[in-house]
Amino acid sequence: MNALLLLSSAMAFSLAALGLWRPAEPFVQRIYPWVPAPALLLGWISSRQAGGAESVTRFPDLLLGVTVGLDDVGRAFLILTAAIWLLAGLYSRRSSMSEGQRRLFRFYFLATYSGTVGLTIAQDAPTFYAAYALMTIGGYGLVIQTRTQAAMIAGRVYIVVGLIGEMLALAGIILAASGSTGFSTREIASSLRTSPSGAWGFWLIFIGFGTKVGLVPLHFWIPRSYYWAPLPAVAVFSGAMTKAGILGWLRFLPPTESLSDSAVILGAGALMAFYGVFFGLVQTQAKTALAFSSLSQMGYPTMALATLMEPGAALERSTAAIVGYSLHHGITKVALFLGLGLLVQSRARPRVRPFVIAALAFCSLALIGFPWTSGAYAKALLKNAGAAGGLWQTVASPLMTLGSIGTTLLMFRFLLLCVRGDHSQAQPARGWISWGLSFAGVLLGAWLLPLSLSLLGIEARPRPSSTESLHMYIPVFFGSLLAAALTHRIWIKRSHLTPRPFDTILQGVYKAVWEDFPRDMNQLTTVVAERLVQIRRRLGIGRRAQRAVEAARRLHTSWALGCALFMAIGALLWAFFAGGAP
Amino acid sequence: MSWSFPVPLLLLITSFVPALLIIMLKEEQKLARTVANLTGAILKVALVAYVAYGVRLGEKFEARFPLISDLEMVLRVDDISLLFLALSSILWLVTTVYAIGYLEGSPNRSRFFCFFSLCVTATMGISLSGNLITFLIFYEMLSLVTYPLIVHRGTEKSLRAGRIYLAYTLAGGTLLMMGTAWVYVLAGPVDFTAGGSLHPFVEGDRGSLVAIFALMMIGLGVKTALVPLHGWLPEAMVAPAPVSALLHAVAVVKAGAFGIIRVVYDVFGAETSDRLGVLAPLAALASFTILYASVRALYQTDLKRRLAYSTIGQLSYIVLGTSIAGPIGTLGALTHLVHQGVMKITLFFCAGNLAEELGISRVDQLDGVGWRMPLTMAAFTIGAFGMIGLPPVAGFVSKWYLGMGAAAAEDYFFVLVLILSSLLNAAYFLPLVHAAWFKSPSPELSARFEARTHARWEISLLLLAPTMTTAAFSLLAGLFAASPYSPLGLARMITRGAYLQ
Repeated sequence: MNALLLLSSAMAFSLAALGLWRPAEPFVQRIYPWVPAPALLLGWISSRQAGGAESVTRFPDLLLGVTVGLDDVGRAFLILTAAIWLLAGLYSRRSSMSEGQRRLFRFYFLATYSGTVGLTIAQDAPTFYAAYALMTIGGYGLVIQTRTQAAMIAGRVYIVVGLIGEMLALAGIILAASGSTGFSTREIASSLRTSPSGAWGFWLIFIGFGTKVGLVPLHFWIPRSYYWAPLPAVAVFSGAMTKAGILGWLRFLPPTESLSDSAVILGAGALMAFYGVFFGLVQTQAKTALAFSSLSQMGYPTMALATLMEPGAALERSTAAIVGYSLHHGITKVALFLGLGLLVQSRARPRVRPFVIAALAFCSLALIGFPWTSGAYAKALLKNAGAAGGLWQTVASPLMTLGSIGTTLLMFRFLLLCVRGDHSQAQPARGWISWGLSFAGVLLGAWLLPLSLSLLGIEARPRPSSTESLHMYIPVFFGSLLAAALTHRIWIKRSHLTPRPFDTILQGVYKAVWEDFPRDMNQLTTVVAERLVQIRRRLGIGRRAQRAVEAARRLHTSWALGCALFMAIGALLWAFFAGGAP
Repeated sequence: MSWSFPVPLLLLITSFVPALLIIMLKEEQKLARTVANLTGAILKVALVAYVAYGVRLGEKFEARFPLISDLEMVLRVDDISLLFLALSSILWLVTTVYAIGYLEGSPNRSRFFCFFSLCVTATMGISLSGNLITFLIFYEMLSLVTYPLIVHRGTEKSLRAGRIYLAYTLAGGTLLMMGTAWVYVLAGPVDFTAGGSLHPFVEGDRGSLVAIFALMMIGLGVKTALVPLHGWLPEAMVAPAPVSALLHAVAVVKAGAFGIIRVVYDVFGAETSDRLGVLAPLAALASFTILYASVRALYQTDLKRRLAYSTIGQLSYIVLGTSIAGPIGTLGALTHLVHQGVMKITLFFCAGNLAEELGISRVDQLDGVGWRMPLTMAAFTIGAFGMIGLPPVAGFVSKWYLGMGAAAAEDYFFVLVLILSSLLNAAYFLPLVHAAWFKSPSPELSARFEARTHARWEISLLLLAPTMTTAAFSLLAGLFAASPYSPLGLARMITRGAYLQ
């Protein structure tokens, strides 16, 4: 089973490479959307058999000893990843791209998939990291799909942040690995708790994987990349790639039972949740509004991670909250992003358009956490996490109500932009079936999410009831009305506000790093080099050295001379030692 | 065993005899020359395989000749030399094929291949030497026989590079000789032994030992291109591509790095060096070199020059690993000795292919070249990813162990150095990879693309095949790192030996 899983990941990459070979192109074009299907199937089968017993398979010769296996959490992420990729792949087949673009899209799509699915089954640190790196590099090709100047810059931002995050995570993993007996993720995680440099490792890994999740202020690649990447790619970025970061956290970060750790992570999560809302509200493009919503939504699993670190935390409930939220957000975001393409496509068909908008509105409700949606369930899970009387339980209620109010405003803004038709970077597509499937997932989410969690062996107790979520929702509803009234200026005007503080900073940094710094360094090195040359000239080293090797220079005309010199040195050595020997 | 006595000598002869044969051949006797070259190279690989098999079975291969009084020339095969032997013999074979293709139709080929073979003879000698004096002899021989290769083109620029090279390496050789002589005066003739043999002198002759160490490190540091002794290496890139490849991956720079490994582990011994407190300055110097060279590489517009600075940085990974106390750092250093060789030779082959086929030598000429020479650029991409340390390419494995070694020795600063270096490597390699695959060529460049179209392959197979082979090695060495036959597996065996005693 595990070998098959590894094979399904490796096969994706092989097919990616095969697709570049002209004769195989039609074949790969035909099957590429179905490449995630085996992994999905295997994930499902493995959840049926074995009854929760985990098995890992070691491939001791591969990499640094590849260990592959599925635990409950890994299986959940595997199924989520494969499902999202399947939907996005089917959808991409029906979206508008030129033939050349399509060819490259296939390559990067499959390569990224190979990495993302690989990391869900990896049970050892080097394999996880290798898959993670493959995912990051592959994603670059997806971001710069359009090859425009702006897309290239977005790609550069993406890869720079991605690599920095990777290196930070690697540093953390290496610190932990040096104090651990083996490289399995479990050993690394426990080494983080015990080794002297564990705290460093912990935060390095948190920030490193956090770049993918979108920790503010390392989030700035997200809106840019989402804006420029084609919709199916954005769907997998938002649905699956951010979850890879979360899985990284789950795999490597041990529950430290420290209030301060928990508080810091909680702060980071809350910052993400509200930062995303504030800057999402003033976006003028539906696609970027959604990107900021992703950022804000990822704040919630981050807060759930904080509950994992609390003293006396119930690990299962926290894990259930993280996994549940990831599943809910993954599917919902895919439906939203893919829906955008159909919205553009249906511009010419006024009879279909209202249905699409209604569907998007329902997905928005799910994100908000409206009763009878998957969102309500996920949020209830989140609310139940954490130790009784702990930090999270104290702040959960007001924090989540405020968060939901924010999300309500943001999603309202998004729908407004959809109705107005501000979605210039969304390419039209006709992937009705794949989108329909993802929408069905959202529609039935309230029922599907608890079912799939229990099937996956992640039992969420106590089960929140729908009346409870209704109660949760009432303050949100009134709060949103109030907030909307207070911010009516944003809604009335066709606002073109796009304050992006990070853009200004980024431009400054960009100029400093790519223009000023090289120039200064060049000047500095030239000055230093000139000074060195002067010193050398003053000392006459060059002249002397030149004279000294003048004889040697003639060597290249005759090999005999070379031999003679060689023998001379031998003789010299001989004389030296013969004379010096006692 | 008596019958295994001449094996180390045979290893030398397999390249020395072809060198003599080739110089006697006429310029136009291409076939004979090629046969001599390839026979030597293939025989050598076979011999190394045989020796490796023997060593695994616990057999000893050793040859001793008296030089003067109690000085002996010792040639023998131990674990560390086996690693270097395997690396240099295999890469020599690959490079020979490449050189035959590369120099097709250019003048002075006999001279070139003669010195090429001599260069490898010297490298073999270095890896086989069993004591300092033998090492020194071959080390000097290597300095000299490489000179004609560097100045092969005979242009003013290459002659200048040759002069600089000789000035640096001969001066370094002298220092090494002084160090060697001092060791002899202090301890008499000592063979390389795992764990070193200078520990009895730590108490009484501490000062001398430190001075010897400094002398030797400066002497060897010239070839290893430790900053500030690196000046010759970027100049030497005017040499033809196969020479650069050999220079940067196997022969010259590796001789220095190998020497440092020998001196630290087999002359002083890891423990003794640690007690002397000489490793910390060496590690600091190596760290500085890593960062300095990576920053300098960012500003090089000449492709081969950029690769040269990258070599300087990467070599110091080996030195850094050697100077970090503990077996994990050693493991990283030994592994990187091989990994850096395979990856860097790939990159130089690619640079050679680009220059040969399209006349590309600057980094700003790479736009869109990936689609004109896909296999070459795929190999380049693998090499570049390896240098950055992205898994599953070999570079990741060595970086992992180097970092772990540093962390285990609680030298967290070096972890930072490695991470920074990886980012800098990314900063100077990824733009090239990006340009090659994602940018569209300028009109002038696309005209060049059009002008030369081969019937079947993007470039002559003699150039393409070696490039692909070494690229495959870089990938496989990483993918199967945990297997006992990988460079990592071999290095692990050596490390176990070095630290158990």
